[in-house]
Amino acid sequence: VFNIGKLVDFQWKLGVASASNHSSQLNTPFITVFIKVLDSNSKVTAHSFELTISEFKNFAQQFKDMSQLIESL
Amino acid sequence: MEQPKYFSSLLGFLLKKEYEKDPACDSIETLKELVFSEQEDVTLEIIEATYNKCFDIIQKAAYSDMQLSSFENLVKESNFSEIQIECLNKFWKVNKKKIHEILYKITKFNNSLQKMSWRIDLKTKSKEIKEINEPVSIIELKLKNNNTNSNTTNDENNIIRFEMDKNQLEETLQQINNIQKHLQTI
Repeated sequence: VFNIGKLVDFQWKLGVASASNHSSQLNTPFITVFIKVLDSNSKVTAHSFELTISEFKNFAQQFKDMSQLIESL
Repeated sequence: MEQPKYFSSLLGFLLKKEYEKDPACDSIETLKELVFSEQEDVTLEIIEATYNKCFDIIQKAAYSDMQLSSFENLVKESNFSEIQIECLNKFWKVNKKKIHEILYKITKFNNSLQKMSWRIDLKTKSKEIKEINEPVSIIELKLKNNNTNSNTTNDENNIIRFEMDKNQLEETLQQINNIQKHLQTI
C-alpha cells in the first residue's frame, strides 16, 4: 500500500575483522546485512549495512519483539 | 608532570583528542590552558614532549591490542617516573577496550544502522476487500555512513521503509536465529 516498500530479499554475512592499517589485532566479528526493498513504483533498491555484535543483538531483539507482538494479535 | 592528577589529565586529554576526536580538545595549547595553566614551570615544549612520548606508547599498544602485562613492560622500558608508570598502567587498564572499539569503528567503511523504528498495523479494510484483519509490521531503518561527507545528508538514500507480513517476519526471524547460532561458534 502507499509509499511503504516491501522487503523482497534479506541476506547476511558474518565476518571477522582481522587487521587494519590502525591495528594488527582487530579480532572483531561483525555482521553485514543486505536487503532489497520493492517500492510502490515497482522499483527495487538494494541497501547494505554493517553491525557490530552488540548492534546486532539489539537488531535481533527488535525483530523478536515485533514477532511476539504480531503473534498476539 | 610528577603529580598524578596532572599527568592523568594529560592522558585523558590524549584519549579525547586522538581517539574520541573531541573538537574541544584540538591542540597542545588547549591542553596547556585546560590543565597546566597555573603551572608556570611547565612549558609548552615539556608538555608536547611528554604528550608525544605517551601517544607513541599508546599507539604501539593499541596497534597490537596489547595485554596489560606487555603494556607494563613497554612502559618500564620507556623512562617514565614511578608515578607516571602507575598512571599509564591505570589508563591502559581502563581504556584499552574503548580504544580497540574506536579503532574498529574507523574501519567501518560500509553504512551503519543509526536507528531502527517499527510499528505494527492491523489492516482492517481496503477499497477492494471488505475485511482483512491482517497484522503487518512497518519498519524504518536509518542508515549512516561515517566516511562520506554527510553535511548535505541525502536523507532519501539513507532512510529505508518497508512492511512485512507475519510470514515474512517469521522467515527473517529464522535467518536472525541462524546468525545467532553461528555467532555462538565464534
